[in-house]
Amino acid sequence: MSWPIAPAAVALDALDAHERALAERLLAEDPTFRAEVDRLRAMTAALTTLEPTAWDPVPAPPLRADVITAAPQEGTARRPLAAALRRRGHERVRDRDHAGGGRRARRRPLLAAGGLAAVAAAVALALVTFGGDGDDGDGVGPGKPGDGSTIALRPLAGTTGSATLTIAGAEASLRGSGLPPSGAHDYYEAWLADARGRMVSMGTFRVKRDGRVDVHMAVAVDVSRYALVDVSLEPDDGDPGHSDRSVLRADL
Amino acid sequence: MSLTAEPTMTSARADAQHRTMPASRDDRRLAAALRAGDHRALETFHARYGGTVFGYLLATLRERAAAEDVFQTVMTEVWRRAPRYDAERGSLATWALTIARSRAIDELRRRRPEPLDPADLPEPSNAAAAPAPQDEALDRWRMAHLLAQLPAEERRLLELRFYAELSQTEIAAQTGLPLGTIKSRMVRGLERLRGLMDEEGLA
Repeated sequence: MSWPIAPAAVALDALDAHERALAERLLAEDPTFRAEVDRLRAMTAALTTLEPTAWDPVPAPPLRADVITAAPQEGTARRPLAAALRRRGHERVRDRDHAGGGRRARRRPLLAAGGLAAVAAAVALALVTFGGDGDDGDGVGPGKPGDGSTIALRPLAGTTGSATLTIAGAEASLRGSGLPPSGAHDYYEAWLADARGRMVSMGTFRVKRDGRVDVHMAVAVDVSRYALVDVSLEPDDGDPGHSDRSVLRADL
Repeated sequence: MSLTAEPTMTSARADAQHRTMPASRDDRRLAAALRAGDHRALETFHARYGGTVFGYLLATLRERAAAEDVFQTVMTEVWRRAPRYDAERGSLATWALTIARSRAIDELRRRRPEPLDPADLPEPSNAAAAPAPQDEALDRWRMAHLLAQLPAEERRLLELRFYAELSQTEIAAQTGLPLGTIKSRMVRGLERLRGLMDEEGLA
């Protein structure tokens, strides 16, 4: 729904005299507009009830080591880390259980392994080109992500679009244009890859018809340990591994 | 405020009042890694949701040492119960806060002197009509978690307006930003928060 006045501006009382008159008319004549303003006003009322620490979060205590070791998971034997890596496509699947899960269940990890190899090759090239090792955390210098600098992501062969990624502290913002719109059953995903080809997802997003994207993602890792950022197109099939369909990429 | 409660609440009141939304893809991925026994997933969970859970516990228990103890219990339970998390019933934040709520109630009950005076118990009819204080706190912290996902500048301006209770003119004077910029960023922040609340299923 589109109105000449943003309902949020009404809820926040961020209007000049002319806009206020228009808003009053919309409130009187358009029940949908009125309902939207009411909802946003309820939100602003809720914001006034938040505790101080909701605005200025207190860091959580460090995770105690015995949280994992003292508590096996319910309903399943705890799998070793290797199993988790296999699920992420870091290793070819050899387990009979996985192979018996049908052709589809086995195909994706193998594809993902291919994707990982491609990303690892890109990482290696980046290291040769720029001479950093990206994994020891000591290479943070001027322009290294994490200090608020902006990185340009370039389209890979056969793809279109471009984007910039700005990482400041625990927050990243990705702005892009010219990207193919994501369909009903796929979405984009931003990844960080380290010098050993290990990948961690930064978050997922969709691209609308205008090909533009402006998303913010929380960064829960030390970005200085990563050598490359990759944006891929992912099918919505529940598989957490990389799809091997990279669209944009940049060296960190 | 009329925000939704956690999906695992079983009271008829909660079921009637609240709807739930399936978890996001990010949540599903993290839940899958937790289910797979990936220790790093628990660290990611801690980084992503630990602050919200701890903030909720601190606000509810009002005692840091107790909040820290209960926080570790909650994280243990998140790890142990990960295979039972149902992404169709709500987000990981809601699920974690639900666990935190239960453990906070345990802690508050433990502190309460026994025996209870029956006169102190709420009337059944009132109890059905009004949400428990812990439920309201849970809703506020679900909102706080979404607030933390806003860009820092937008969150800061909303904080100055709704926590510090400054007028837009006062915010402009304090930040040195033009009034028009203040207004447009606050509008964008509120719209972004609304979108996040829709995704989370918060009415």
